[in-house]
Amino acid sequence: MSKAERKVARRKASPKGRRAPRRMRAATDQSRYLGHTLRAWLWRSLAGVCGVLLGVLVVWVVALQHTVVGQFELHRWDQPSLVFARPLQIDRGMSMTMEQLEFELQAAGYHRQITAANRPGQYARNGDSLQAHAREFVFADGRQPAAPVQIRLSAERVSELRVDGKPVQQFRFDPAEIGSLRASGADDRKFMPLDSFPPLLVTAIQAVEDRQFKHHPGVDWHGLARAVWVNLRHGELRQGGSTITQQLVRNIYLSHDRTLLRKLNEMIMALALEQHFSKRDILEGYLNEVYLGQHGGGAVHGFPRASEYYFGRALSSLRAHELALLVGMVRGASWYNPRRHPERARQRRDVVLQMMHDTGLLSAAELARAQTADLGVTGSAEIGRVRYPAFLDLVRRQLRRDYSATDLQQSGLRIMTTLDPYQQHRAERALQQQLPVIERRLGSDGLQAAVVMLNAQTGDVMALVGDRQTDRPGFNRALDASRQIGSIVKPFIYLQAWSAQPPYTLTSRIEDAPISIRTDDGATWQPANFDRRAHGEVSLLTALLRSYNQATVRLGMQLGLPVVASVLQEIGLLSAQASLHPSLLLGAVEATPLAVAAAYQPLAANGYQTAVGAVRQVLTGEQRLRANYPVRIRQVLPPEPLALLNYALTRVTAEGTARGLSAALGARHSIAGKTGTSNDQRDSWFVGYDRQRLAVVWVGRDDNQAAAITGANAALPLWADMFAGQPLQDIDVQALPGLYWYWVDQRNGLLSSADCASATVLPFLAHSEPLAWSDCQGGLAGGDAVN
Amino acid sequence: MMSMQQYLATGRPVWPQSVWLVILAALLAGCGTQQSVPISDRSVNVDSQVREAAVADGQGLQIKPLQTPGVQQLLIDAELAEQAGDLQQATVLIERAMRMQPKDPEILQRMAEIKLAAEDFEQALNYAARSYDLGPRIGELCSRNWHAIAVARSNLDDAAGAAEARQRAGECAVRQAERF
Repeated sequence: MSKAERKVARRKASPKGRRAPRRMRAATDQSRYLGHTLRAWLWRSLAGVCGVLLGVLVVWVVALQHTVVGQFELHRWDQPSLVFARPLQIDRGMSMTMEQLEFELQAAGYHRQITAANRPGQYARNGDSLQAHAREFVFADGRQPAAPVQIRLSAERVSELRVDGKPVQQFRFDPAEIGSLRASGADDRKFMPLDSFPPLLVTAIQAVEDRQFKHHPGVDWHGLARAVWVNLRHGELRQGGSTITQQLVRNIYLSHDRTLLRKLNEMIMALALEQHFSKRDILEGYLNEVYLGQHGGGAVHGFPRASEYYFGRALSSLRAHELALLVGMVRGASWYNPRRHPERARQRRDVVLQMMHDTGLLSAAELARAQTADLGVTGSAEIGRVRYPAFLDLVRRQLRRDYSATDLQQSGLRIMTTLDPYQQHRAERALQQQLPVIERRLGSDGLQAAVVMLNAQTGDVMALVGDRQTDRPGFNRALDASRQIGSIVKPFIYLQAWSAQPPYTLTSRIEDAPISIRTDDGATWQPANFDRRAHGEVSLLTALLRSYNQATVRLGMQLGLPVVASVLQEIGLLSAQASLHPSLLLGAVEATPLAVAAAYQPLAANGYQTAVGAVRQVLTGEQRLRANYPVRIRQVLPPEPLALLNYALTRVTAEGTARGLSAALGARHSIAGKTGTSNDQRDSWFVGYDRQRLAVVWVGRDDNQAAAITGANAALPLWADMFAGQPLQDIDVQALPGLYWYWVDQRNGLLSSADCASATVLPFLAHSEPLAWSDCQGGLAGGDAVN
Repeated sequence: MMSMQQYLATGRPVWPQSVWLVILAALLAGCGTQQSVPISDRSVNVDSQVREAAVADGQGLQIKPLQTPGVQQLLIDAELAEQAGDLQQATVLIERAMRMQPKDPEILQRMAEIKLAAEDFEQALNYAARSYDLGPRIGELCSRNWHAIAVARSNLDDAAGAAEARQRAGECAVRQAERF
């Protein structure tokens, strides 16, 4: 019962009402009174109902307003985290090929123009010079504005570098986006600030969807009235009359039902949105949010993602007819889907182009050209393909320690990684092209492979491949395939010998002859050499160059198994719980390619170990530095004995088991390297490094069957293919620290004069050089080769 | 790049423009000092305990590593950030330089000094040691290496090690050979 009704009821029950019929005149008075009361009652009831409705309406509006404002704010930040490659750093004087430069720019989404790069994201090349318009980017150490950049190469070096026309010493391009961390099946969107949208798109969308956008308060009453009139006259739904604001509301909050209530809600929310946000915010939200198709389990939202989805290119690179196609699809993304209904999409595009011409956005000539152009969409969705599944897997694992899944998938983090797109490309290409060649040559099949490439000084993972089909996600062999490492283990044993007190030397003699060792379980272990022969007494250098098993086992037993095991534990190739069987001296130890890379990293960095990692920094959605992953170093190996080892390993690739490398690289280089082959030729390893980069290649079968492969015939050619034609930073053995060079007679390792026929120059650690002189007389002795 | 292991024994920078960069750096650093955080707020004062101490030790022959101008600019920017008290920014900038020239002993020593300022003494020790391993092992840089190691060791409660490091710092000075 309302308040008015209660009052009336009270009056009816009052004694005054019962006393009225006493007089005749009172009857007319009474009827007049009754009419009056009824009218008053009706009025009051109406006012009451209105009041209630108004109250409900106010609550409703406030609730809607609250919802839409909250949702809009939420949507602005509900973004998947984006993963970026390392930025291309150009330093004047650095070595660089045009192929590499163009590859890097294209990987970062730059598009080649014929004449000049006028907009961010474009480049033009003319012979040895390249002009690019770099995009704005926020790095961990600050914002870098968009700028025109000119680069000239001479003799494969950057000879000239200009930014904004002025010569500079260095420049950093915005990095390639290599993926996003979103939940599977989640909607795909990629936020872009309003200023980065092509101006033609921003004006065209208003011309086509909402010409009064700048002026209306969220709802275009004139447009709505016109639409209602047109629809009534034709008796069907011909015009929508929805503003951009209303469409945005529909996209972020409402369902797509066409009911009157939904329409009413939408109008109220649109008015509320306009009250709380600027036109710029709303337009920015719209361009990033509008529904433009379906992909995988989720929807494609916004023009930036749609451009990648339909054209495989960045929005900034689209031309008028391509922009018009996307603008046209706003009306119905599946109805006008250019892949499924190309003719329908084309008609719609041409209508949009005509509207662009009518509103002065396109000249007649531009219109004619655009209308004859092909649709230009790619055959399949580009963004469905994950480009670097193995590397992104590593990024995810590294971040999992510090971030929750929700954080990674929804808070729009920007993850700066260490991926070098060009090196990754070289690693992938090597597996794709060379592995089939190797299989044919060896008569083998079903081989799999993995690659890890590091910046040896910083531990940055530059490239990572976990499958010969490089874009297939799933089993990541680089991180998860634990395989026998074979002779890859030997350098660590020789390093122990050269670090021992008193130290062995390169010329120390060791017997390469059959050896039998009684193991803890009472069995007898008798290792054989790869060529099934014993080679007699040889120098340690020769034993390592030729990778002799019996000599290495004898050396390891002299040093003591626990001593060797401790260094293997220190560098992560052996777990602390592993039982010590002498077969570990020949690499009967399992490790992943990543672990092997991590173990060798200190060898290439003067004994300083650094954690192998893929993430450099994490920035928040607001582009503030949230976490920096600094390079932490720790000395784990003594530098002087390590210098001897590095010298020996450069000779391995020059004349030892990896001597194929020089030939394969097409030039003589000073690269340190070691081959590895496991029992029955199931695994093929090669680790090689120069002064900057270290790469590990593994080849084998997933079922661990014998595959007739060796380190030299499978992994090494892949390594060589990756680095062929690239500038290498040779290891300068003369500059290795703490080494003293002597002429020695290579037949017996004693000091000799330089003119002795079997004399060679070898390095020794301080106070470890031989004291006795060889009886070799200048030019008289014949002598063997290195032995 | 050839620069990594090449050093000039003349004490003169290789590129003419680097003279100006060094002067500019010194000027900018001077400007920055006036606005920087009061020195007493930090437990480690890299300027007085490492850099100035090394200047006092490092008379005579100087050996300067060869750096590209891009790296020099980054080191100047890092110095400005450090003077402004923004150690994180300085770290990010020095890491950038280190990624461009990872074996440059000057950059490694700068990293050691920034780690001292950030009171990460273990890393300061490791970086200074690596800088010494790869560096000239004489002159001012050598002295800065050992002073940084001394400060790190004394903060890691290794008084004997710190004393030894200070002595090594004093041995870095090398007299220039007399010319006839």
